[in-house]
Amino acid sequence: MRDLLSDALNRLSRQDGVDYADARVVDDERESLLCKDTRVERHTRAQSRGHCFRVLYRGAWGFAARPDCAPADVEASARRALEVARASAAVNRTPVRLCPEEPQRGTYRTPVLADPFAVPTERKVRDLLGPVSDLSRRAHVRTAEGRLFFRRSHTLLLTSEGTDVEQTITHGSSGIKVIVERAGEVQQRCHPMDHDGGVAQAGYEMAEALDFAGQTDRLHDEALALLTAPPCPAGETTLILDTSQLALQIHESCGHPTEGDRALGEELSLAGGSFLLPDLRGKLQYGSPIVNLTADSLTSGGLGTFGWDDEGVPARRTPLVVEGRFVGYLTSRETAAKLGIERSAGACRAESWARVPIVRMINVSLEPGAGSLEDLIADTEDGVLMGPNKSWSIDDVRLNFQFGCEIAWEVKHGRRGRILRNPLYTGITPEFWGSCDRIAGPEEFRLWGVLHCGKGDPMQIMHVGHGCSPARFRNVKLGAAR
Amino acid sequence: MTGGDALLSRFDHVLRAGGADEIEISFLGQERGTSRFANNVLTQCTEVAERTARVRVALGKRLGAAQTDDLSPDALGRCVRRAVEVAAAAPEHPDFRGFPSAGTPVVDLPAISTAAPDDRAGRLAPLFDRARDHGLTLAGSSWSMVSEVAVANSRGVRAHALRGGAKLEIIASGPDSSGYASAFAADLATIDQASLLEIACDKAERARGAVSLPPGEYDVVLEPAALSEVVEWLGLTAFSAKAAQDGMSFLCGRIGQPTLSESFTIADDATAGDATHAPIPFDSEGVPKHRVELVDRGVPRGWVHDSLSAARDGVQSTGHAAPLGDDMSDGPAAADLVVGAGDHSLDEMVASVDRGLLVTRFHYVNGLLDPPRAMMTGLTRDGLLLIEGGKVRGGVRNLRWTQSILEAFARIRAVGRERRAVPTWWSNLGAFVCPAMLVERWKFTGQSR
Repeated sequence: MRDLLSDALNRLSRQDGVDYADARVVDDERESLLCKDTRVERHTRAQSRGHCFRVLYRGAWGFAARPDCAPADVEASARRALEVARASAAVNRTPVRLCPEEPQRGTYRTPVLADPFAVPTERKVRDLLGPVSDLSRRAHVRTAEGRLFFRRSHTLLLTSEGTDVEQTITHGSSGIKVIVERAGEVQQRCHPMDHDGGVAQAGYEMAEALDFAGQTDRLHDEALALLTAPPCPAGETTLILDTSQLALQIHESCGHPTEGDRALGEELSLAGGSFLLPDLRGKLQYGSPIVNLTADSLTSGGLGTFGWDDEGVPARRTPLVVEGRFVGYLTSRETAAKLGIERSAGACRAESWARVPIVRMINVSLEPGAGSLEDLIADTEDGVLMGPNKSWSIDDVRLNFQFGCEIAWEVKHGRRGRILRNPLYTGITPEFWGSCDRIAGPEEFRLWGVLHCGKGDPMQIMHVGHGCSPARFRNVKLGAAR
Repeated sequence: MTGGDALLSRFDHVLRAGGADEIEISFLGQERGTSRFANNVLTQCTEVAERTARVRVALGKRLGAAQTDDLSPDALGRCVRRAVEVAAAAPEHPDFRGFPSAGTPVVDLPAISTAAPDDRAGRLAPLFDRARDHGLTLAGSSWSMVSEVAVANSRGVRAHALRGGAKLEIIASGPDSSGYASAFAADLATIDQASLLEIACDKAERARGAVSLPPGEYDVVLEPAALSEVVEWLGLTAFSAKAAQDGMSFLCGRIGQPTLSESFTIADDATAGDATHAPIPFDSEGVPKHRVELVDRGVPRGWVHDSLSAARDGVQSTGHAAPLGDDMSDGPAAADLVVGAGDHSLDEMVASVDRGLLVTRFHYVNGLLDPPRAMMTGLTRDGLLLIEGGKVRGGVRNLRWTQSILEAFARIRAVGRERRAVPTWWSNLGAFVCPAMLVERWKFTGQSR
């Protein structure tokens, strides 16, 4: 396949008017298991293989992809990508330029202790179905469910500039949830997080570390407690976010608005824009002086970790917010050039062989402060501790957000108190981050991620990482979701 | 596209080879050309062919599945063997009664090829020029697609369909405002793009110099695109048997009880297509999609089923197994929701509002706050306009709303007589047919920009 792709790319690159071209072939393997109560509801193994060409012709892009990989198919895709680019060039007046990047060569492979696709199927079913069945038989349980997902993708990327890199990335997720009901009240508890569950770039060891069997008593107890807990009171107070919720807060209110294409107005047709406009870079006070947010693709185990992005830019670290000031963007080579940034942040990623690479998050993380979560609680006279996430919503420029969480605890006089149900909080991004007055230390730092971040048209579902320690925010508007 | 005869004969070969007590093959293929644009420039133009075949097998009542995009006999054979490995490790599924039986007709809808790249680009160029004349910039996308769906199983089901679909979506932006318009059709050439452009530009121009309104309750006229966002979340959180069986649907405990306004009727109805919107008439198990009354004149009536959820409730499948490629649904999916039409025009509804808001569309609605009470939140976007004295005035800065849709839809004052198909953003195979709707006292809870 390498030779086929390379030959077609060479022919494409020699065409008159072609400024740049790249070719990718991706072999993809997935496994998805859903257990519900005492049954396996769905268990699927999936394989996919395909290739694509992207070409910049007289400053306009074209892209074509197809699953077949015979010589005639590869040639047809290259030809089609050029046709698309030519059609675009006939309309566009301003040519695209790419910021420079040295050609890359090499390989990257996720360190995996236990190959998830080699672990016996029976064991995977047993490991998940056991705790789910246990939960399903307990008092007032309406339903219990568990999920396991693994994906391994092998990508070969060749570019007309001489880049030739191969990557094999393995990542997965797993989580369990229980829904309880009594007297018309319905509540849920999950571990470690709803939706995707715990996520990591790793092998089956990731799922084993989640210790579902050790969590079932706590989950059931807390779910029952939520049935009769008082609603989270509305009003302004001090808010402590656990890492699972803070990760999504970072995702929505820092990750997305620092995407260079959004700032340039190029994502308006689906995901929206950004309040972090180009002329605010280096000037806007985004958060308090203790807030430092960084994009990187180097952190071990992150969903945004790799050797190179999907246009061959090597993994690197880019500060986004330094001491509260907005300083950087997530960029591709194209958006970096448009924003007047010297080098790409290496954040140009594609969901699969069938999608064009676009600006995506990598690992966007909050730098830790000092102390433990318990220190943070002990230092809080009156407030609320919340997490994990239950619902999320933010406006089209990423300013006005609202998050609902599964559970909250009252914090009074430095102690964690009673459970509160249906908590939610809302705010405006820079005001919220400006109210951050304490961040716990490295010992509390945890790398989370989002497996289903949607963006683009056609839709692309991307996996991205977020690390953080618990943090405290003052004067946050809270409410109850009812 | 492969074509029905070629696909089904290939699948017959796999079914004849056997390897499990029962086998089902479900297929989705799509060819799509997309032109995205922003700042009056084409930004992402793509031509993509994709396909996937899912093989499900049953060993007695134990189920397994495997997927591939390689349709060669060897690859499909490997897929069967992999599905058998998965099934062998599963306990018996208590709700499995066998894959659906024969009786599904083979249906072929007229297919339309995708628009060529230069055709799409050429259509967009004059829109950019016109927007410049307005002093506005355009963002959006134009796509056309052909979808091919097929299902075959060892109980004799044979189903195949081809469908064309196209969409043009425009956001016109000025210095401090934006406006939105979109259209969905079977063929890109039939979309009146000049009219859409004028609507989007008119919205953006009317919204200039937007004022801030304090949060509170306002009567709202929801245009079809706005209503479709709410309907979409009702589909995910309430109208599927999974939501009901989990106790998370607002329909639970309310079946047969007057709950919403008598003006509100909604069904999942893939038989209600027209020239702009022709749904695939069977689901990914090959079962014909039946019209399912979900709420009839304010009274909850039921939810949609696939074969497993139906067996659990002791009823027949309604033909709503989730389409292949739908990662959002864990069970049956209500992907062809149709809201009943009323007898008012949009202008009549606006004229009846003393002080309220005309909502072009919503953004980032989320229905997971408290699904049993249909609590949702969301924001306005791309054209929030003040209505005073029955007339549309200037723009209003975007607002957040948070409320129970149960309560809101008990306050429907009028429903539009004209309806529009609005495609779902999460699936290329579904669209929601919605009218405009006038709802009293919509609860806005926060301000945006």
